Amino acid sequence: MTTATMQNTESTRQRSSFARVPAAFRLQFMIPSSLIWVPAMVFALAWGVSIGIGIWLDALADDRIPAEDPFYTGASQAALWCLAFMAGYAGSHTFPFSMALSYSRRVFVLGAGLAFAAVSAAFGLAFALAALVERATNGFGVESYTFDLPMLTEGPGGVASAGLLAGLLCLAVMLLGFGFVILFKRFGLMRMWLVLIALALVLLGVVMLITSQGAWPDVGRWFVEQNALSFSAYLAPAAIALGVVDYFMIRKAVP
Amino acid sequence: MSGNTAGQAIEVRSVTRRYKNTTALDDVTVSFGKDAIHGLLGRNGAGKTTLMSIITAQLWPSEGQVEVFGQTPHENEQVLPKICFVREDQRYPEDALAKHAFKAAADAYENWDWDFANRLIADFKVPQKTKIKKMSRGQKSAVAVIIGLASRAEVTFFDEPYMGLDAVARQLFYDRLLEDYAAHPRTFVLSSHLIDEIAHLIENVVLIDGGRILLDEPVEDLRDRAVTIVGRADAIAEFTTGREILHEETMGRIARTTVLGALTEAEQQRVRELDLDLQPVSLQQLIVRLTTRANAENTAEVQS
Amino acid sequence: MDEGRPLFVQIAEEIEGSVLDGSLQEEERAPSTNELAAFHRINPATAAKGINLLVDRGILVKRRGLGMFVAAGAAERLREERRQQFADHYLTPMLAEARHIGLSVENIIQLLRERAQQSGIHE
Repeated sequence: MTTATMQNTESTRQRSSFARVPAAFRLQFMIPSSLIWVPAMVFALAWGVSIGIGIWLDALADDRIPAEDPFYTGASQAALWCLAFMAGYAGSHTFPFSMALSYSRRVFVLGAGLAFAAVSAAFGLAFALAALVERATNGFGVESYTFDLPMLTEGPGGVASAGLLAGLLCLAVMLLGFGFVILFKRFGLMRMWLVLIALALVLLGVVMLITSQGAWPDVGRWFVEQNALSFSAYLAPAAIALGVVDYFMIRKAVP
Repeated sequence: MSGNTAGQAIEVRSVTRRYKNTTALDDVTVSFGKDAIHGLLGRNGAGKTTLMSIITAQLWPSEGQVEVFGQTPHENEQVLPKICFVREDQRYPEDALAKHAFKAAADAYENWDWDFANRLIADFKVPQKTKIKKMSRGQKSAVAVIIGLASRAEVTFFDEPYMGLDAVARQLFYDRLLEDYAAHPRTFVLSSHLIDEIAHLIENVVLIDGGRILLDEPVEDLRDRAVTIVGRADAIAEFTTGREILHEETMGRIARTTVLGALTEAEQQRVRELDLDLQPVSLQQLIVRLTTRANAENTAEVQS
Repeated sequence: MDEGRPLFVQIAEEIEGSVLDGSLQEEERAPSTNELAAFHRINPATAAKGINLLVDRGILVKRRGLGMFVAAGAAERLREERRQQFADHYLTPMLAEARHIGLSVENIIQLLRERAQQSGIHE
């Protein structure tokens, strides 16, 4: 009798519905190469190549005065796109596996979101640190900058704001990559393309509206007035909105 | 040990699942007793995987309810951690090695047993350095089977577990399953389209065909469900009048007829008087006969 | 195992056989459900059903916490049962076959005597 009662309480024991979120978080790092080592390598490689090109160009151009003519590269994006891609894999491959391990979709998406947030924070930090290194070494002696871009690092908050923006951008891009895969799983190829085309049409509409109003100078001025911190203020709610959209899409998605 | 006394682990009530043009499950009501090994049988495309996916909340029904230990499993973390369903063609994270999948499973299931898992890994000779997606079918099956067993989940599903496993690995799987079941009784559901493979392992049979449940009963009771009579065709015809005939073959004046239902003592006496032979119907034959009959009825329905 | 007949009956018969031929002595521990299940690779519930069949007939007795044991006098009881079934199991089919091929009862008795002498069973 006592055993029966004990077993009964055992099987009906309430556990927190979020108890497995840490495990779902670790699930994303099950293969450390996907969210850590490969993006880190892309980050370092893109940076290294940019520096190499900077040194090479500097050696070619004899009459260059580096301080007056710094190089700016776009290589900081490379790791971003890599991470967006890896977040897509989390939707296409890790999601079905998480279903086999009987995670609820809620726990899976919370774990994934937290993992993306952690990776994004690391990316933001790496971005800021790299910018500091570039600043300290004067662009590796040849004034070649991949992270310490004036438009990002010279606003209020300086390098820290640039890191914040980079982190938020990374999170948004990862949630977008993940979201598109879930969109595909939930609604199929046709409707995924419809959404993509609709988004393109909206963008085109905005462009046409600005053109017809002759408002491009105003738009240009607005962009010039922005800085890393103010961009972050726009990006943060956008990233949160993306996360919410992902959450509601996956709740009815089939692995 | 008997599943019937311990209550139900899974209750499926009036579940229908429709895809665009097809009905995969058609008003299915069935239950699976706790702490028993069940066989979910049916032809390919009968609805076995759909039913298991719905019970494990990977899919949801178009209509009807599912309960596992009295709770709806969909998005329910109270009951989901007690369920394990690794498919034979399971998709794993890109570039995953077997050890990655096992670590993730160990993280997800609180009863995971590493000693048992390591023993199974050695038994099945799971390659350590091959990516799962590059593994042979048998090796992939082994990974799925190991997760299913070592998770010690209270309700574990195996989807055609013998697929891709060679004879040695199959026997190994069946042996380890029985051993571990004896030591840690829990609920297993094995899907199969070949009953002979699993007839000795399972306690109950659920037969599904065309999205409907044709049969749900203890394996041992099935043996009395039908009998085959062999002998002179006229004598058999006389004997089988009024009985439901599942199958009939004739060769000249000899007939072999399978009828539904057990024979009474008087009928057995009559069989001897008519000088007919009784042959037991193997489970595989019975399943085939019942499935064929259901299909014939469906065709008749459509035509009328 | 024979596909045709219920497995649990075959399990019970196998244990009976062991008791009859002495490989399983009276008061000795009988194989457990799990041992039978593992040995024959069958579901433990099926093995349990076979054992219960023997418990119901008093061939095996349960000793709490120790397992199943062969009951005292089980072998003799089985022998008695089998004697009673002998006519049904062996004589009825023999007579049916004899009728088919036109052997008289006298013929059968004659044959039986010859065979008995050959195999050393004396009257």
